[in-house]
Amino acid sequence: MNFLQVIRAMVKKELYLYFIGTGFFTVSIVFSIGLFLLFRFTFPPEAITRDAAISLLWAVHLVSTLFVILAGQEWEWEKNAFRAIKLSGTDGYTVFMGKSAAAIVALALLWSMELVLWSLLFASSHLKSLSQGGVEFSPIIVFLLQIWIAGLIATMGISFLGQIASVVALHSRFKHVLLFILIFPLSLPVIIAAGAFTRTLWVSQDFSSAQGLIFLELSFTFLFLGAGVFLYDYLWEE
Amino acid sequence: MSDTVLNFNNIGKKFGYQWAVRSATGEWKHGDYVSLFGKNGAGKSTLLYLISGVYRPHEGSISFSNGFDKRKFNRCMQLMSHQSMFYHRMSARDNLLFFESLYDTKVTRSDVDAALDFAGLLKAAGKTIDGFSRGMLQRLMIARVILARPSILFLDEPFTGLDIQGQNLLIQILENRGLSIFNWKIDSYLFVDHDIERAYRYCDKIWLIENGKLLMKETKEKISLKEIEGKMS
Repeated sequence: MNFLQVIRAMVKKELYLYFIGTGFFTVSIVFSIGLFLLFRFTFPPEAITRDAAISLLWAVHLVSTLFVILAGQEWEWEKNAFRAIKLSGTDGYTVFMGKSAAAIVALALLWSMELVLWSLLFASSHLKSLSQGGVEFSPIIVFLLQIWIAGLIATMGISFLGQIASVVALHSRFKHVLLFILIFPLSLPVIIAAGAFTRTLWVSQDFSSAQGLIFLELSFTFLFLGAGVFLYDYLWEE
Repeated sequence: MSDTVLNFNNIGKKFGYQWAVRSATGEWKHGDYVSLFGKNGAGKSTLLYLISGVYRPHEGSISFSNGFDKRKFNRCMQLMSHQSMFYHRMSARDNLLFFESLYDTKVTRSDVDAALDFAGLLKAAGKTIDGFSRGMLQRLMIARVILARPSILFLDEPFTGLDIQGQNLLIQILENRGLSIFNWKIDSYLFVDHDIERAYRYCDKIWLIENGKLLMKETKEKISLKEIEGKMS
């Protein structure tokens, strides 16, 4: 079996289901936009502090990410399609990598949209202050890029974790509940580190003072990747 | 040289605290065309899922021989069950193309369409299978099996929901033990069906399971249909 061929087929199938076959991705986007707009126009701008805005960004991203991860398992559980994959002799490692890669692509797109919207609604005054009176755009791009990377690492971590949690939940009668119970507490260190990174960067504009938090995010992401690579094959046996 | 593909030794599977199959022992050989009989809840499907590898046994072991291992066995077999095991938000054609891409064989769109045509689903090939009836899903499963051309086939109540034409397609496969037009020959199968007469007609060997125990493994000559019906009543 060609490993790359199977990964490619898995990714293609997953992305089709994320973007076209189901409405889950659209619902996640609508959910994110809705929450941002709700907060932006419910409270006066001065009432939404820097920390509240940063918390909102990561809370929205965490919930929308969990929703997308759940969607990615739903179509495996729905009619036991995962069994047909298993019976083909495809090993769990390949399935883990394929499903993770697709989830990362979908979530990176979702995260990019969320970051742009959040920047416009909650961080515009801070971005203006970075641009030194509107003549210098590179500090804005650097600031947003650094947060985007922090978000991408968090997304990767949660995607890997999501695949492991879903295969554990697969054999439970309460799989939807169990999936959230497993993912939510374990993903918190990654999300908290990403949130703290954003705050530190906002306050000091100094990457070196925030890089420890990125390493923390990376550590958890690699931990989840390693756990997935080594455990997934065993876990998805029934 | 022995024809054995796999041996299962004291295998069992439980759901919660309830054993569905307990201490089943036997062997699977090349050329075995077996029908598995038992009452509702006797453990037929569970045993079939254990041998086919869908379930991992909670007790006992399965070992392969004659150059087979789990991976090679998986590559040679297909399961046709009353569970559809498809992605319901994808079209029939995309489902088949995806599942075939998991195998080494090069399957083209025209191969897929030929299998769909045989199964009577070509007109619905581009439709998402969300709206497919039970019988259409079974036909789609027939198409998947045809494309894979497995030498070992596991059939768990495959006639469920099929109309007369659909049943005839499946009967054609069972009677001929393959399909020559697709250059497909079935080397062995394990067949579970609630229609005892049909299950008896298309087998050479008979297994009987009762309360999770595999009680009997006989050749067809040694046991008549009436005797099986007697044991099942």
